[in-house]
Amino acid sequence: MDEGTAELLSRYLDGDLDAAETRLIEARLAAEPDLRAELAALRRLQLQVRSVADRMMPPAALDAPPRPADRSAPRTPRRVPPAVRWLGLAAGVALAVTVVVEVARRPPQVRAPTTVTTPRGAPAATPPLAAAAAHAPAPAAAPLRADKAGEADAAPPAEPAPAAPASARRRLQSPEQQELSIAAEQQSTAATGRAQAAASGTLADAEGALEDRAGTPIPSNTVAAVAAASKRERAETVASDEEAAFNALAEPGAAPPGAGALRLELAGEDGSVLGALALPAASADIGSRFVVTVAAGVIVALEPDAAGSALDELIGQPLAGLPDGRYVGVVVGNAAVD
Amino acid sequence: MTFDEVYERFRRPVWRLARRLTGSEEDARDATQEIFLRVWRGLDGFRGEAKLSTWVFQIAWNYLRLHHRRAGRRPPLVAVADDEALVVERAPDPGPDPERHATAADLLDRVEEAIDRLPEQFRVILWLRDGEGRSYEEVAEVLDIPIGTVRSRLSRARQALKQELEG
Repeated sequence: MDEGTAELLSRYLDGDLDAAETRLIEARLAAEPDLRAELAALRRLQLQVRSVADRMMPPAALDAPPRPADRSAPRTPRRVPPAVRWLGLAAGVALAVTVVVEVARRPPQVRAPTTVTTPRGAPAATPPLAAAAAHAPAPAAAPLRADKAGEADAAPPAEPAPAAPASARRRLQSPEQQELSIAAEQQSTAATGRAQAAASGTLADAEGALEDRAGTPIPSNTVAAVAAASKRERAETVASDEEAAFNALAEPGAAPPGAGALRLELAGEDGSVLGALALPAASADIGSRFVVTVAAGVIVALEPDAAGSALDELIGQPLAGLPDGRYVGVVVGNAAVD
Repeated sequence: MTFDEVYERFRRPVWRLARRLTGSEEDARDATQEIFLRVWRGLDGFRGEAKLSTWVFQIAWNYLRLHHRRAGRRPPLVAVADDEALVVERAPDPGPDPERHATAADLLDRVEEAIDRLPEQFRVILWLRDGEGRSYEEVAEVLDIPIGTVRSRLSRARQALKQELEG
C-alpha cells in the first residue's frame, strides 16, 4: 500500500478526513477488500495500544505528589517598595549577567563555555542594554508576573518577536538537512553583520553581536535578554543595605538573605524593554550557552539540561508574550560591584 | 486547580509516557517526579493559553526528550554463557514467540514490546494519539510540529508497529 493511501486510512480511522476525502476512501473501501482488511487491522492495533495504556499502573512511590523542600516557599517573589528598589539600583550591588536570546527555532549547538573577561565594577564594559535595564524606571521594565490573573495586567503588552522563516523551515527538515540549512544560514548572516550571526550558533559571533549593539540597532530577529544576577552563595554577612540592593534587583520580589537574584529582561529591536523576569536565584558562567524552550508562555526546557544548577530555576518561569519556540541564549558578560 | 489536583489528574498519563520513553520503571518514576516539579514551578505562570493537558504533556515531552538524549536508549544487556562470562552483548530482538500462548495479556505484552522497539519519534506520536487519546491538534502542540507532520508520521508509526508485530 502506498503512503498516501495508508495516511488516508489512518486519518479515516481517527475521523480526520473532510467530507470529500471521506467519500473517496469509503468508495475505495467498498470496492477493495484488502483495504478493508487493512483498516480493520489498524483499528485493532489502535485498541490494543489503548489497552496497553489502560493496564499500566504507576508504582506506589508515585501515589503522593513530589514534596520538594521548597514547595512551602512562595513561588511568586514578594514585591519590594519602589524606594528600596531605587536604593538598590543606586547601590548597584549585583553580578550582572547578560544573555542574548535569539529567536531561532533550531536544535541547540552546545559548545563548551567560553570565559569572557569582564572587569568587575566596570559599568562602561556592560552592554548598553544591560546598563539601560539597570537604570530603567520600573514601569518600562514591568515584570511578567507569575500570577495567573490580576497582577498579570501589570505586565506590558509584549510584542511577539518575529520568527525567522528559515528557522521555521528547518523544523520540517531532518537533522542532516538542518545542519546544511544552518551552515547556509551562517554564510548569509556573515554578509549581514555579526549581530545576526549570533543566531547561527557561534559564541564568538554572539559576542561580536553584543559589541555591535553598542553602536548599531539590534537586528530585527533578535530579542535581547538582559539579566542582572547575584551569586547564590552570597554570604549571610552581606550588609543590610547591600541586601536591600540585592532584593531590589530581584524586583518584583525579594530574594531571601544569602540567596542570589537574577533579573531577566527581554528587549525589542529598538532596545525597549518588552518584559522582565525575576528569578529567585541564579548565576551562570560567562560564555555558557543554553537554549530556552517556551511553551504556552512558560519556560519548559533548557538545553543543555541545567538540572542541579541554579539556572534550572528558569524552568517553569512565565514568559507571557513571547511566542512559543526555542531561543538560543548566550551569557556574554557580567559586571559586579563590590 | 491546585497542584495536587493536577498531579492526581495527570500522574498516570505522565508516568505512562515516561515509561514508554525511558524504557525502565526506575527512570520513569524519577522522570515523573522531575516533570511534576517543573509543573509545580510553572503552575502559577500557566495562564490557560493552552489546554492544561497540553501544557503538562509539553513539559513532560521536553523533559523526557532531553533526558532520553542524555541517557541514550539501548536494548537490555544480557551476559552470555560460561567462557564468555565476562562478555556482555546486546540482547537480540526477541521477535514474536510461536510458543507463546495467545492470551490477551500475552498479546498486549507483544504490542507493548513492539511499541518499545519503534524509533522515538514514532513511539511518542503513537503513544500520545493511540495510548493517551490526544487529538491531532494537541499532539502537534505538544511535539511542536505541524499538524500535517502529525498525520503523516502517525500513519508511518502505525505501519511500523504493524510490521513489528507481523515480524
